[in-house]
Amino acid sequence: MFADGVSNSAVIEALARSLSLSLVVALVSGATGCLAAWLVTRSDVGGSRALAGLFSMPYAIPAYLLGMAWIVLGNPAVGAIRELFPEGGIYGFHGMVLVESTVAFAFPYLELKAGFERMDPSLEEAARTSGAGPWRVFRDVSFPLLWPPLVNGMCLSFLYTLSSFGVPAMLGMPVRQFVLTTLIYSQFKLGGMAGIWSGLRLSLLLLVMAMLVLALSNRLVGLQRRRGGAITGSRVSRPGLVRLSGARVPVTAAAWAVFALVVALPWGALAFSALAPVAGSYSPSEWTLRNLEYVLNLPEFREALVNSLALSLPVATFVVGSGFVLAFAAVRRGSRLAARLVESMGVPFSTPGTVIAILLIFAATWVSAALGRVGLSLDSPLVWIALAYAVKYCAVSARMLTAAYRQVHPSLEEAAVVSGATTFILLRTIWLPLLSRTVLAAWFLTALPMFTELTMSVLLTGPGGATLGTVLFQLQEYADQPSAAALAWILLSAALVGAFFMRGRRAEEILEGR
Amino acid sequence: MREPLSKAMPPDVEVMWFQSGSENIASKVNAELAAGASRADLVLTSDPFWYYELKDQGCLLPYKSEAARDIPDIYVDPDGAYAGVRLPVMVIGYNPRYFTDNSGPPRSWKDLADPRFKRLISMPNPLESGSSFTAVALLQSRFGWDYFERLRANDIIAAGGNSSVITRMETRERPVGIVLLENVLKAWDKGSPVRPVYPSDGTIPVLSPIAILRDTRNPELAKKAYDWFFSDEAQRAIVRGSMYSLIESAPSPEHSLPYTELKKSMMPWSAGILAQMFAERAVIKSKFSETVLR
Amino acid sequence: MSDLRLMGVSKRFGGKDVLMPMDMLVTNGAFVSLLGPSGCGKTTLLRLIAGLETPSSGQIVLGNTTLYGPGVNIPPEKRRFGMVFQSYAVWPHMNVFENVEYPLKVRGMARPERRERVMKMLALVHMEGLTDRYPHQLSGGQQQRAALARGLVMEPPVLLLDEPLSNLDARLRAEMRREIRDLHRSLGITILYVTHDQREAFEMATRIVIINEGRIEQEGGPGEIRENPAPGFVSEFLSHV
Repeated sequence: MFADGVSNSAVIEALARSLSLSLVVALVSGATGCLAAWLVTRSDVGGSRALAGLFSMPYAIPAYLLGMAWIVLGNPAVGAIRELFPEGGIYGFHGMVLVESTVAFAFPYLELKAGFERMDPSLEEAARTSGAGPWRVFRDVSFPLLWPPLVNGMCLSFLYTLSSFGVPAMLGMPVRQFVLTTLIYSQFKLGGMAGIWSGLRLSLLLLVMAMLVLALSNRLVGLQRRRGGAITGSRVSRPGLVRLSGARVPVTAAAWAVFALVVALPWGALAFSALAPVAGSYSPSEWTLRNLEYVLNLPEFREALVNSLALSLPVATFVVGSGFVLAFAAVRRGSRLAARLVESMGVPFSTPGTVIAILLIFAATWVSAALGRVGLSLDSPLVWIALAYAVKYCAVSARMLTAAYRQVHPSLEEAAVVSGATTFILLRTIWLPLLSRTVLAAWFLTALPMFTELTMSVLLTGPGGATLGTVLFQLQEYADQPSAAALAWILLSAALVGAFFMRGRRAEEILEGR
Repeated sequence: MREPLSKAMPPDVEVMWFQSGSENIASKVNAELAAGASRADLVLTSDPFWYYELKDQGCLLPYKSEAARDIPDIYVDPDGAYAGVRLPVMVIGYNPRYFTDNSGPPRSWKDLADPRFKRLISMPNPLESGSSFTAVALLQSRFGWDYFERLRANDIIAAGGNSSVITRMETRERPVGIVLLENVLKAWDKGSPVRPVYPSDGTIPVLSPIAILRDTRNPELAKKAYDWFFSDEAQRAIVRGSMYSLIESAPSPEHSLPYTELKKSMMPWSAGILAQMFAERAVIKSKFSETVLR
Repeated sequence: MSDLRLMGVSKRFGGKDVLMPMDMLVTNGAFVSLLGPSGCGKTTLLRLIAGLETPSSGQIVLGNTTLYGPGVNIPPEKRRFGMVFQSYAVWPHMNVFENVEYPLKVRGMARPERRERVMKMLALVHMEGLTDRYPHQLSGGQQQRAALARGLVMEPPVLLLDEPLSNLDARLRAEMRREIRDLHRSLGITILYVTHDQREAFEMATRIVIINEGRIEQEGGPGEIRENPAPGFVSEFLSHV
C-alpha cells in the first residue's frame, strides 16, 4: 500500500496522469514557444516589441488564481465562454493542458527568444542567400542550433507541470481526475500523523520520475552533433527580418488573439470577479469598488506587500547571481562540483511546494531545538520562507544560464583572458553583457513566482510572516471570491505594467553598464 | 479575539497566533511533532479526529478545566485531553435565485440523493477538509455507502474547501451545497444571496476542540489561555464569528436557527462515536474515494 | 550575363536617413568596391541588394529582372546572389563539405553533380583535404575560404562580400586579397565588395565607389581616384593610409 486510504491502483492512475499531462504540456509549450519566439525575433509581425514581453505574462499569474479565472470563463454550467469548450468545460485533462501550457510556455519561449537573439543572424542570412526559404532556414540552421535551449525549456515545462498543484486541484479534482501532487496534498491534509510519512513516500515516487526526465533531457541535449554552438556575433548587426507580406495581417491578428486568450481573458475574468458585489454577479451595472478598497486597506496587505518584495527581489537576485557564477564554473571552467550542483537543483524544482514546506518545517524544528539548547532562538518565519523560495526556484536560472554559456564560442572570452582579466572582471564585462537577455529572462522567471507564491508560504508563515500568497489564501478561505479576485487582479495588473516597463532595451542597457 | 486574550494574559506575555485552515494547522503541527516537538502551546481547530489521534499518540496535556464545566459531556474528552470550545455545524446551503420556480431546494440530506438535483450539488473534499470528513463519517453511518453512490450518480462535485462551495453556489455553477453554516451566515451578512437549510434529518455537529500540547514550554500560561476560551468574552466572540457556542445559555449567531431548536434534530455525537469513526477513518476515506471520487 | 543597376535607392531607418537616394551601375564582370568609414551605409547598401533589407525607395534591377521596384520585392532566397559575411557564418553543426554543398542541396541538384561541383570549388580555394572538418576545427582563414567556396558554388551572377577579411591577421589578409583577385580574373564573375580598408579596395577593385554618411562621394577606377581625389571628404579619407 503506497498510501493510507488510497488504493495502489489509484496511485498508479494518478502517476500516469501526472506523467501524461506533463508530457503533453511540454510538447505543446515547446512547439508554441518555438513559433512565438521565431515570430517575435525573426519576422515582421505587427507589434513584435510589445508581444515579445507580453507573451510570457501568464507566468505572472499565480496558478491558484489562474484556475479560478478560467473556471469563471469556462465552467460548464455558467462559464462566460463555455460554448468554446467541449463537454465538461474547462474541467478535466484538456482544460488542465490548456491552462498549464499558458504558463509553462514561458520556459521554452523565453529560452528560445534569448537563443534567437543571441545567435549570430548572419548564420541564418547565409542560408537565405544560399537559396533557403524561411522554413528551410529554420529547419536546417536555426533549429539544430537552438536544440539545447529548446530541450532545456521543455524539460522545465515538464517538471513545472509535474510538480504543480494549483491547476490540477482546481480543474482536475472537481471531475475526479487526480494527479500525484493532489494525492500528496490530501495525504498531508487529512492523513493524520501517518499522513506526513505517506505523503513523503508519494513525493519520492514523483522525485524518481523527475530524475529520470532530467537524465533523459541531458542525453537529448548531448545528442546535438557538434559543440561550438552559435557564435554570438557583434551586436551591431540587426537580423534581416522575414517578411510575412500577404500573411502578415492574418498572422499578426492570430498572434494578438492568442495573447488575448492567454492573458487578456483571465485578466478580464479576474477584473469582473473583483468588481462583482458577490461571486457570480458580473453585470457592469452592479460593479463596485468595495472589494478593491477592502484589499488595499487591509493592514496585512501592506505587510504582505513589503514582505513579498523584500523576499522575492533579493532572493531572486541572489539565486540568479549564484546561478550565473555556478554555470560559468560548470561550463567554462569545467568544474564537476558546480555541474553536479546545477544538476541537483532539478530536484527541488520538481518537488511539490507542499513537500518542500513540510521538509523545511522538519528542519526548522531541529534548528529551533538545537538553538534552544544553546539559549538562542530563531523566530522569524521569513527566513524559512526565503529558503523555501530559493530552494524551489534556483533550478530555473542555473539551467538557463548553463545552456546560454554553452551556446557561446569560447573565443569570445579568450581575448579578455589573454589580456589578464580576472574572473570577476571577465564575468562583469564580458559575460554579463553577452548573456544579459538570458539573465533577465531568468530573473523574471525566478522572481515572479516567488512574489506570488502561495503553497509553501501558507505552511511556513507565522506572526509577521504575511506574504501576498498567504493574504490571497486568507481572502479566498475566509473572505470571498471577489476579494481574492481583487488582490489577484491588482497583482496581475502590476506585473503587466512592470513587464511593459522592463521591456527589452531598458533592462539590457542596465546590465550592459551603459 | 487576539486583543481580549492578550489582555487576559499577564502583561509581559506575548501571544503569537498562527491562523490558517484546520488541515494546514494539522499538517504543520504534525510535521513539527514528527521532527521532535511542536512550537505550539495550544491548538484549536475544527477537526475532532485530529485531537483523537493526538491524544492516542500521547501528544496532549490533560487538563480538566473548571472553566469548561458548562460544556456538555459528549463534547469533552473524559480524560480532559481536549474540550469542545465551539460548535460549527454542517448544513445544506442553496442559492434561492436558482430556485425561483416552485421546485424548491432540498430539505434534508436524503433529498440530495434525489435525481432532480443532478449536477446541482457540491461539497468540500473530505480528504482536504476536516469538517467535510466529519459530515461524511456521520452520513455514511446513518445512510450507508449507497447514499454516496446516489450522490455520485448525481454528479456531485467534491473538491476544495467550504469557501469554494459558497462560490459555486453564488455563481450558480452548483446552486446547492453541503457546507459549514458559518460560511453561509458570513456570506449572507455580506450581501450574498445564499441561504441555509437545516436538514430535517439532522444537522451535522463538527466538534471544534481546544487542547494543550504536552511539550508546551509554558504549561501554566497555556492553561490560563485555555480557560479564557471558555469565558463569556471568548464565547461571545465565537458567536459573532457565526458559530454556535456550546454553553447553553449563550446566544446564537445572527440569522441562525436558535441553538435550542437546532439541538432537537441534530445528529448524535459522543466520545464513543468519535472513537468508532476514528478507528474506521482509513476505510471511510478509501470508500469515499472509490465511490465518489472515481 | 547581366548588369546590376540601382536607381534612386534609399533607406530610412528609425527616423534616420541611412542612405540617400542613389544611382549605381555595376557592369557585368566588374570588381566594384564600396569603400567608406564605419557606419557610412555601405553594408546597408549591400544588404539591400541581397534582399536582406527592404529599400525605402527606388529600384534594383539585375539584367532584365527587377529585384525591387513598384509592386516587386523578391525575397533573398530567390535572388541567386552569392554572399560572404564578415563573421564567415559557416554553420557550426555542418562540416566543410555540407556547408559548401548546402546551396546546391536547397536548389535540388542531384547528389553526384553536387559532389563534383563542391570538390571543384574547394579546389579553387585550396581546401580539398578538409571536407570532413567542422568549423571549430578550422582556422579563421580556412573558415573564410569555406565561406567563399559556398558563395561561389552556385555560380552566381554576382558575388557579394561584406568586409570578409577584417577578422583576419595582416599576413592572411594579404594572401586572401591576392586569391580573391585571382578568382575574379579566372572566373570572370561580377564582384561587389564592401570594405573600410582602402588598401583592399585599391588592390583588388576595377572600380571604387566611395561612400560617406549615406552618399556617394566619388566613383571611378582606382587610378582615376588616386590622381584626382575629390576635395573634402575623399582627400581626407585617402590621406590616412
